[in-house]
Amino acid sequence: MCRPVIITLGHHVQISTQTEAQRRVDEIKIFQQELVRLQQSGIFNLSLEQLNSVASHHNALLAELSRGFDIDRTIVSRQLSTGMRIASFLGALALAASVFFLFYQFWGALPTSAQVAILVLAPLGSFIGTMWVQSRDSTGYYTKLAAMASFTCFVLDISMLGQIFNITPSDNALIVWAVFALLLAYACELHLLLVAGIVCLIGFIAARTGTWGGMYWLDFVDRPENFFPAAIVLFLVSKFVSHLRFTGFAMLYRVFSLLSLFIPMLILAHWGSSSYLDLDPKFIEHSYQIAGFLFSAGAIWLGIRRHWPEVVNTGEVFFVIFLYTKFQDWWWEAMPKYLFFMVMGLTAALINGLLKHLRETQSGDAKP
Amino acid sequence: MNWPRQYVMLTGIVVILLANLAALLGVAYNRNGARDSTLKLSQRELEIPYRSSFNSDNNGISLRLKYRFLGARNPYQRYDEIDPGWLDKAKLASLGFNVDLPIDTERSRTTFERQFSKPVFLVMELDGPAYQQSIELAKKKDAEELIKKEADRETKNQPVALIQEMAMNSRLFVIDAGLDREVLRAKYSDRVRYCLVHGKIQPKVITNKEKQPFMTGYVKNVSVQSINVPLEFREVFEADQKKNLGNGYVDSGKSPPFEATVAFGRRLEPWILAVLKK
Repeated sequence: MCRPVIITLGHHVQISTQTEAQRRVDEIKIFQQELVRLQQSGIFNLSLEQLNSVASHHNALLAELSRGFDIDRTIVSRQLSTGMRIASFLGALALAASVFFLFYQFWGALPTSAQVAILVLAPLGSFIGTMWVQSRDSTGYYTKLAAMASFTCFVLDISMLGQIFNITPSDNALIVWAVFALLLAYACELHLLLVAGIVCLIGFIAARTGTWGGMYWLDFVDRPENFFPAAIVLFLVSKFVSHLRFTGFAMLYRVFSLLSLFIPMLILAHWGSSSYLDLDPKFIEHSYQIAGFLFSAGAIWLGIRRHWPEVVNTGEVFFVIFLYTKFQDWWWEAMPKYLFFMVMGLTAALINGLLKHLRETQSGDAKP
Repeated sequence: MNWPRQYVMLTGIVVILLANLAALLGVAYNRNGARDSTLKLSQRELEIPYRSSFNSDNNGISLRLKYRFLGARNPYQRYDEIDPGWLDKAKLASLGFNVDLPIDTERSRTTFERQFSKPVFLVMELDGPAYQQSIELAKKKDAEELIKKEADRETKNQPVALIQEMAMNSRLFVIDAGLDREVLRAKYSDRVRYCLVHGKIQPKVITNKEKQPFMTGYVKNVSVQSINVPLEFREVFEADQKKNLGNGYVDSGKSPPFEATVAFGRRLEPWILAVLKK
């Protein structure tokens, strides 16, 4: 992370990112609201002098944070920021598509040397541009646009070099793209680029797993088990690499780890013949169905214990999918449709009841 | 990651430059030194591919390499089939597939077909014995068609297999596969008739007319699917490109004739050396 602004609060607290600054502002706002409630209910009363002292400290702090970062100090401001984030996300995708089609539009009219020069210079220029924009963009919105365009240029660079010179495809492209996307993601604190990097990384690990298993790398999707090592690697990254200063990064690693685990399991639970295991396909399907239930239940349990809501949610979604696909196998043909959907509805209510019970248990545990 | 700005900048630039350098060094290695083969292909072997609406903005030109297989083992396929007839049990064994597996039950057939595809070197032959054989097959097909039409007293629509074979169909055939490039090159030493390319072969089981299962395979992938046209040769294909942009396809029978000299380098990656209008 190379944010230019570093604000020191007190002796030990340093704020160097937009996320940290916004979190601090939110904490101050919550504290102020709670203080008002406590004063109104008469639980305790601060003297006017003390109130003024706290207020002036907070005002100075907010002013300093506002100078250094693009923070939201009101609800309206926060709502507008959310809109800007959505707009910049869509803009980043549109800009990436624009770069893609711009290349195509003039491609055939250029000699090979010019094509190569453009392909090499485009990611270089856009990467340097991204770093320049980031040093001047306290909001991060324009940085996201520039970073996405830079990543697209790099992907196009490698893939179009392959096209121009008829190069045999290689999985090495995936790891190079992953490294570049992750560099941009961490340097500019961008979730979109982190997702791009994680997806490339999953592809590379799965391809290499397939190669080590004896397959040609492009066939790696033929054996869904190739994705399991990627799930383990991503989970280990979320566990052992500190992401304290990157809000939401560890969460994304965990979510993609679970997706790399559950989606292949779901496929194998229905198409056992695509497994590495040379066993009866029906036996493989049943085994993966059971594994799917166990692992998704395990994810819910782990998420609750570790306070990882995204793990709980992903576990719940896949538990329900495994359950409903099983219902479909068992009863879709045998039951009248009204009864089938009623069973599904009742099951959803039952799951809700179970989760509510779990939540209450957790709340009970949390009590002092 | 808590890197100073200079480190981030340097790392990004190094990643971009190294990736490009690796790709371009590979190209230089492929194109320098002795070429593996040089084939003179025509509009029958190289065509502008169909254009999808998504791809309609791409004004670059890549030519699709049209290759064929001969001698179907599948009795339900015609003479212009996609499975190579030479891919029998012995050939599969020589490529490293386990042919000792039983194939008499559905389960055992699945086990045989579930073997991983093998990366191999494929041999392509231009205008050679395989093409002559396909001409003979076309003649036979036309003769059969004629007898059938006479029996039906049909006078319109004369058989066209031979006409198509002589004037339109590709003369490039995939005729063999192997694991050792040197052995194949020694066997097919004529470098203007035979080119080697990377490919993959997948085993499969089919049944003959007597309902007996037997082992064969198919070519799952050929590394050379299309060849990029550099700007200096673009003019030859400009007319077809315009038709393609307008209609989404080019009628392969109406393409202007040309002769493209295509080289295959040390990594068996092709490029166009010259194109002549004919």
